[in-house]
Amino acid sequence: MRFAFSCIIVLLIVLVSNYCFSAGQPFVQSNDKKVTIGVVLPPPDHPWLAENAKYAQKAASMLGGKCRLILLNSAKDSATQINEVESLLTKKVDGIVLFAIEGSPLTPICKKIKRAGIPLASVSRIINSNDYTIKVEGDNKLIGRMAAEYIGKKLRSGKVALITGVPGASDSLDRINGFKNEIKNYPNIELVASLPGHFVIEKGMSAMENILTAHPEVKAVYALSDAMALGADMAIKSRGLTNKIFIIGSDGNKEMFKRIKNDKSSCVATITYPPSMTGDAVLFIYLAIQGKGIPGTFDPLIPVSYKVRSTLITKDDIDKYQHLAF
Amino acid sequence: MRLRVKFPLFLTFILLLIICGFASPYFFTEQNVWVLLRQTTIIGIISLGMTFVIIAAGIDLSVGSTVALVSVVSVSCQIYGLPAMILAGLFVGVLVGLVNGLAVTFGRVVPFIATLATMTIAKGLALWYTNENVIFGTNDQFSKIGNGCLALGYNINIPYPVIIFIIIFIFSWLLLEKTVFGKYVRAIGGNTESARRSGVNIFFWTVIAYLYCSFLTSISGIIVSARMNTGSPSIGDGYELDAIASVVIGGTSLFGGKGKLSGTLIGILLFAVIANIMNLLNWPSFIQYTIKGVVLLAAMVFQRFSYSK
Amino acid sequence: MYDNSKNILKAKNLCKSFHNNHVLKDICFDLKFGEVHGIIGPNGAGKSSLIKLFSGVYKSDCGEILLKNKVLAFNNPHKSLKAGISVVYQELDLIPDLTVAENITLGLEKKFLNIFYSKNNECCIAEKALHKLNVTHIPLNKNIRNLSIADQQSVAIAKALSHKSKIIILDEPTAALTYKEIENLFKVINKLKNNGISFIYISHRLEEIIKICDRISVLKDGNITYSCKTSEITHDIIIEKIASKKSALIESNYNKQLTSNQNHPVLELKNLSFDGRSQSISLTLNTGEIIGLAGFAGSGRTELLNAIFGVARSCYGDIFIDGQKNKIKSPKHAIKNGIGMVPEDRKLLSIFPDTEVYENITFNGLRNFLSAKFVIKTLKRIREAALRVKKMNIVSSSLKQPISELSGGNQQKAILANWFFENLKVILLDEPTRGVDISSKNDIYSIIEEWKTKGISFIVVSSDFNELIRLCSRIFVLRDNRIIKSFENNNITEDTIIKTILGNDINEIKS
Repeated sequence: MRFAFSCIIVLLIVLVSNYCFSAGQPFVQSNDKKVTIGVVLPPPDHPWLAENAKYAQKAASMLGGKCRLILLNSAKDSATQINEVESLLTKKVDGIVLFAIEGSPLTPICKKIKRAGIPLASVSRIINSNDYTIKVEGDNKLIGRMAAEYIGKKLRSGKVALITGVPGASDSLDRINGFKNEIKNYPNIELVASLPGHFVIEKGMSAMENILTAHPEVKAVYALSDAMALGADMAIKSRGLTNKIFIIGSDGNKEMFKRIKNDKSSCVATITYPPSMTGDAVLFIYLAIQGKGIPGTFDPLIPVSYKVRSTLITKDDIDKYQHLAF
Repeated sequence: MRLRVKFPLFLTFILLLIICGFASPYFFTEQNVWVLLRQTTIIGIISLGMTFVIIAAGIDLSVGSTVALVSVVSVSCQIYGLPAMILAGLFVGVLVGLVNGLAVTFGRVVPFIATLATMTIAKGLALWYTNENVIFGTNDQFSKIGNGCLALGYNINIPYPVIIFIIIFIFSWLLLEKTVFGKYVRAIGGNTESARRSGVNIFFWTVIAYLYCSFLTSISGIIVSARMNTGSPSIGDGYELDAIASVVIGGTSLFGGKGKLSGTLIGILLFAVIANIMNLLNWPSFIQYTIKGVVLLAAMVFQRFSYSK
Repeated sequence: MYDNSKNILKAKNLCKSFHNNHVLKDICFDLKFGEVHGIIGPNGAGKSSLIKLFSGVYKSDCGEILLKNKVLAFNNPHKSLKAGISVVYQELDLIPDLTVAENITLGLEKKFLNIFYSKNNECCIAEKALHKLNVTHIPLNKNIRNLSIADQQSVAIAKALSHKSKIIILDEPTAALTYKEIENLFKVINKLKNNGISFIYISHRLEEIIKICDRISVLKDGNITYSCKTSEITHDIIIEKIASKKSALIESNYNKQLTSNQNHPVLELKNLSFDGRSQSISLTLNTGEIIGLAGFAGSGRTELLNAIFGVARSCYGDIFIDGQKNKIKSPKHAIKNGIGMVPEDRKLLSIFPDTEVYENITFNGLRNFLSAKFVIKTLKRIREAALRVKKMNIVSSSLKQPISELSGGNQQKAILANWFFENLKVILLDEPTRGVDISSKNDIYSIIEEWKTKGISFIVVSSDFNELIRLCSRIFVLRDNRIIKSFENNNITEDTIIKTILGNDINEIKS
């Protein structure tokens, strides 16, 4: 008898916890209206951006039949991306998630979105005005700071170099500024070079080669993305300096994880930058469309800011975070 | 023979419009029509200028970079007011055209190479000028040029870029058909030596052709910057190919000597419609590239066969 | 009106040379008002250079040109046009995609505000010009591209008139015209003549020149050697004046007769027509024989060689090689069947100027120098090149010298060596000694004759008729893309050939 009763309790707990903790449930209810959400992203040349697109689709499928997703990511420059946003307006979508190529150029069109009363999420590269319903971003300044802190503590004194991303992108700039501000706290560390790697592996490699030529005594490198870190690693390897320099990346790339675990590589740490932020944005916009308000706000009309956390991962705790690697 | 080429092109275009109408219910909505027309204007204005250069048996690859340069220069002058922004942008763009023209005439550099060089120089200058950043726009009047409309009553609102495009089209048409500039451009492209012997000042009119192309490119650069209300050095990549493709599809020969603006117009609209419908149908980007390329190839092959009869 | 005894144009002691090549020497020429003055002469005499002097494209190195007794200082063609001299070129100088009216008025537009012009005014001027020619059937708004050659020519003349030209130079105007169109042209010339326009008429066609011109001058080797009124001269005298003296070649007394295999034809052409024409050419070439093709420029000699070598656009008729019927579709095909060709312009078509001597001389048949892995055995190649250089008596400082540094004669020998060592049956030579000095010429003749004894046959095209007489056992005379006569080489002279070309003792009809 007691056994049966405890089984029922366990069953109930399982059922209730399923109801409470399964991802889609708090969002979707049966009397929600069917909606269409438009998502505009930069082209998936970079794997991190491709992951963002995948998460957006994951979010939509979690919302089940209530949400139809339109994904536009072929615009090569800001001017063309504006066209994509406009086509969403033409189709009278119910909500828009915008990951701008550059925040500033997309600002005027967002005014139109606001005037049309369509909820808008501005992701990562935030527009200049307040015309969004919610902004979703990583904490790029924090990422930069974390990297600087790690290098400061590990190296203590010596020369360090930066491999930056796309010039002018706000996420790049925030990370650089965060890094530079924190590294000031370590007076024995000198930042000797900063070259752009455009977030791609081959440019990361050539940037590293140039840095090594000009500053052969560099001891640590912070590459703003894992792809560039991998390229830098190859450059260091080809010069035979593998254990003399260490590299930190950002993003949480699978290959980067592999190399951090591997002793034969210069990569020692990375900082997560969850590509799920676009997925989160989709979920929030869904709520906004349904008039339910975004968790953490009082009124759905008040713009909010949602920051996605980042974590520094080194060889010691890497296995814990393996599932986050993409 | 001109009709024989243009007529099927025109028919194809109408056919395409009909197909698009069936493919997406949003295609023929009022909003989409204006959106489509406004999106046409950027490449469209450039293509009109490019037509002149190509008829003169030249080519201008620097238009995309010129747009970027004009964008950053004009927005950087926003503290001096709207007229200063426009003048600065036009000035810089026309300067690029002057360099192109002089390089091709006095420098005797092949147009492809000369404009390839100015393309990279202009891009480099734009990036250097802003230290690879964008310039935030704060002038609302400026933004209106790109985003505003002319209200004509009866709820018809024509976007300003469209009005500018129409004016430029008419002006360019007059230039090509009714002035000696147009005639000489065709003569220079058709048989340069013969034109020279007849007393046409080849150097002068060639430079004017490149100047006109870059002038129109500057206008386009100002419009696109106004739309974004931002000065960005990273826009404009690939615009030159779209412009050249539009001109060439419209029946203008790359060897020079013949071409009509009406053809270019159809070429512009054709590409714009294709891009627009693919956005509406939510087709992925690689299909867009592929289809644009297939259309261009098919049009060229078809033209070749029409002319060789 | 005008005085037709006075000179409108007078040239005194003009000369022009390029890199020590004296193209024109001491030219004295005059043109009267309302006169048609013809210029005739063999290939390479300097006719096109003379035209360019008068039209301002070239500047004369010495002497002067007087227009209406005023000295002319031309330094560009436009000035010449303004002064009243127009040229109607053989490859008409019009703009194909502009209309008739636009072409006629190019450069003459009346401009408002310097940019606008009136289309009506344009049509007016064009119409007036065409009217002067009595040519009214040409629509003003048709593109030049869509007109017949004769109509295009009329437009070119109308253009000259609209520019108020008083002197019109016609360069081979009848080459592409039908009989009727030529008649029309002559009518036009006569009409304009009566209105005071003077013509310089340049042509190969003697009967036409005699028909239309008031005076004739003979241009030969850069000199005006003879000049007289048409009424005071006959056909034969002119021909005599054109034929050159015998040049100082070393005569060999070898046997010009066929060697072995006298009656074994290695190549036979039956009713060959090509390039869209209907020449219907037939000839036979025997083993170990050299035959020659003689004619003036434009007579179709190179085209015939091209057709045999597989380069012609379209080719109908039969070609027999060693008795077997063959269709030669490409040079590769031709070489496979044992036919080789050395083209006319070596700079354009034969040498690879930046490569070295040994590479050029062993270019054909490269497969003989390949190892199994398709790697070129350079050493083997160089050895072979050395052999050939010796055989052909080529003068070069080393085998690795860039071929462009060799003299013209040695370059030509290298190219010939390329083909001669390839075990071919028939070799086609197009102007084999053009731009070659005397001693190299003789070397080349000896080599050709030596190869002939080995059983290789040659077809030689040459503007130097004495060369053909020296080498060939038979000579075919071409005119207007047809063979009009063939000679056995028994005591014929250059005279005979020229007479045949210019004469009217032919029995085919111009259509």
